[in-house]
Amino acid sequence: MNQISKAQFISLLLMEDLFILFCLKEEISIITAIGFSAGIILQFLFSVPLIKIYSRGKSLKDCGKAAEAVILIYIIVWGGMLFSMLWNAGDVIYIPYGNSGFWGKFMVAAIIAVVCVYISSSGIKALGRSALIAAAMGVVCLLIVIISALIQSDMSNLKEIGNKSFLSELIRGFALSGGLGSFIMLLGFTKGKPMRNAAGYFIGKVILTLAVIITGVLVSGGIMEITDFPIATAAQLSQPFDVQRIDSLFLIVFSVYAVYSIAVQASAADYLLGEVIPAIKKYRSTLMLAAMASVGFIFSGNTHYGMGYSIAVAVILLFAPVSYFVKRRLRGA
Amino acid sequence: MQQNNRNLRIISGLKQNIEMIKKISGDSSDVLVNEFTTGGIKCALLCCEGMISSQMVTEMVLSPVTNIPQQDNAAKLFSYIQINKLFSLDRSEAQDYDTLFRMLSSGFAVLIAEGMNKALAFGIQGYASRSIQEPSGEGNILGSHEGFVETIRTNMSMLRRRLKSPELVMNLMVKGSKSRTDICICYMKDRVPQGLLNRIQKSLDEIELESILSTGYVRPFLEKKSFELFSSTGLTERPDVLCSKLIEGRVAVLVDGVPYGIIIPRLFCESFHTLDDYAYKPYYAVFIRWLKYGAFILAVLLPAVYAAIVMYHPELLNSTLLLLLVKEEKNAPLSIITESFLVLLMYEVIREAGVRLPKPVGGAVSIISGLIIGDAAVKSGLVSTPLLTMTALAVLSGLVVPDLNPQITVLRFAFLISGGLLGLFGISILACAVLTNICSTEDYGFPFTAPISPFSAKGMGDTLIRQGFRKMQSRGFTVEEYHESNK
Repeated sequence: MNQISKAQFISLLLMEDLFILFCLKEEISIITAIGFSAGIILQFLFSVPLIKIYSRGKSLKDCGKAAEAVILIYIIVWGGMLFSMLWNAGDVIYIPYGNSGFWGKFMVAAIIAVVCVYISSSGIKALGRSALIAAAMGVVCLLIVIISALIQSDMSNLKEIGNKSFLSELIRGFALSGGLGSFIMLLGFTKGKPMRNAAGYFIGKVILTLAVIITGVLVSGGIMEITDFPIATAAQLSQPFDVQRIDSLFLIVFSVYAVYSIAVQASAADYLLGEVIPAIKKYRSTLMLAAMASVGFIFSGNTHYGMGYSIAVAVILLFAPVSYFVKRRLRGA
Repeated sequence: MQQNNRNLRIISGLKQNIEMIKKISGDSSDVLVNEFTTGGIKCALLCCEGMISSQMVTEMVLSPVTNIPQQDNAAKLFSYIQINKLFSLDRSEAQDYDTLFRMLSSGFAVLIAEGMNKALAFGIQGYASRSIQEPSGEGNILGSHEGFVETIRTNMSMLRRRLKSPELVMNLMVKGSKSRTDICICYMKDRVPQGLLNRIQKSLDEIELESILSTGYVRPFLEKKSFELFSSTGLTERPDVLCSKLIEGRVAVLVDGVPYGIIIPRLFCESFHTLDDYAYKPYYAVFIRWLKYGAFILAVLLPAVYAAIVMYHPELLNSTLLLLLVKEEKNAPLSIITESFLVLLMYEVIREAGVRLPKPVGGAVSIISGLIIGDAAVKSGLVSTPLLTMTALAVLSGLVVPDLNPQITVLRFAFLISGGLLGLFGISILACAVLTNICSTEDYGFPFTAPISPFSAKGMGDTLIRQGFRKMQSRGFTVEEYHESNK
């Protein structure tokens, strides 16, 4: 696999994190912003052992096939979750024919899957380069949406804390791991120092999470109880001028980020499948996307990310380093 | 059989030699054989009719060759000619018939003699060729008005005139088993990355075509095999543009018979650059450059976005505009996507007719179709005025970036279909696929999308903006900076 730059690495992962925030169901408050940020810092701390291994010039290969297999399974499951989020968000985001029941949603998911097959089969370098451009354009669109949304904001919404505690939001933020599976995989293929790359990503993630959630709270805070998707609703309420809405701009960002979120999972899974089962040489991306879509179908009803998911994230971040040290100890013995 | 004969060494007997030449050429009428005796040795001067200058052959070859004193044998005659007679500056020898025929076909006069198993060739080319004219497709206001012509030697001289440095290297080679086309690789030896040069040479070695009649025959060998929407090699018909690329460490390939030079590698952002950018003040050059970026996006997306907004996302429009569009589209008998598709298709038909027809008729076709058909279509209510305006604007914008016209044309249709069927969602999804395809374009390790992605802050000085020459001269840019290994 070829190497990507730090900017490409961060863009790829942040697009996925933003997509997850767009699809966030359940109510949000300022506590959510703080809890999620704390969760991200915790994710960073859990990933330090792995970063240390990469800093020594080692790769995921050195952690053993078992570690690669576990991460592959996690990526497939998380890819499925992304499909499930996309499926659920179809209720609130207007896509022509996409809101017309099962087949409409199925068509949207299928189109995205086909494009993802193409993108992921183009290789990680092409994916990284295009992600950087897409992310930059997306950020510009998003800024317009956020500024337009802020016109409709109400500062008093910040005082509405809701019934969520800091701990529950921290767990939720930690569980919403975003691209941690692909983070583990891509970090090894990113030019530059792993610690700097990882720190850059997590700092960016905290900033974006705070910006998006606070905007969501400011705009949707007053109607939080009746809204399913607070961030998406905030975007839909964006209205820069009296008679003009720009929620379609949000649709563009949402679609592009959805494609790249799933494509990066497919690309990472494609690579890991090749490592775990080298006999499979062709159609790996297609196979992985099919697996993700199937998992997504199974998890389509799930919207709550609690303790179970948090444990899975902790395991995934620690499994590879533990496996590496055990392997080294056994070799030493 | 004839192919085998061509590889034979030249026979020493003059009569048999001439017979063999006639046999290989199929006694072709344009191969002229003039037998004569000079220095006491029987000789023949061969040439191809129309390929040589009759004045030069008389003054430089026939007149001096008849004034040679008595020689003992043919070897001494050839030696005398080579030492004492300067028939032409471009002199060569042929040991076999293959080389002999290549010389003849390139405008050389070939001398053979009794008892000599080689031939002497003198370059006295004088074939009719187009004179240097202004390039037709790369307009320029403040720069040179010279464009490449079909003769490779003239094109090489145009480069040499502009780059007088001994570092400019031009290597000629012959490709095409039947056409025997001259191909010239040009580069600055102190600037070009050696790896790039070697790989281009290797790519050219893969050419086993029978004929090379345009740059289109060569370019696929210089590009990646996988499907790429955009070409990673560029074309120019301007020697000054080619020289500027050579100085940046790129390689150029000239093909005889084609008034274009191939530039390797080419970057996406270069499609928006013209030589005039460097003649104007930077602020105006930046304005023009951004105008072109905008025009490219309009050319590709405008019809699609119009269809998508009117059909699926009217909330993006303000109420006045929305009411205006609704009123116009309500009267149109066809759906917006069908209407747009047909108008665009009609434009492409008219354009193709204008290009292929003789120039005077082509102009008339454009006027008739543009004014009469367009006006009639709107007046009869077949096409709505806003849609026609959008389409015309998109088409006009496409002409701002002529380099990318084929891609713009196809992408415009593709985006129109996706936007018409799935609105902005469809456009976004297709944009992701197209963007990935553009970003996957990479030949010889040079990403097509550099310096945007992979990002190079230094490269932005001549991409997003156009820095002044004082800053640019201190930068000393070569294309090697964008190589993947340096990122």
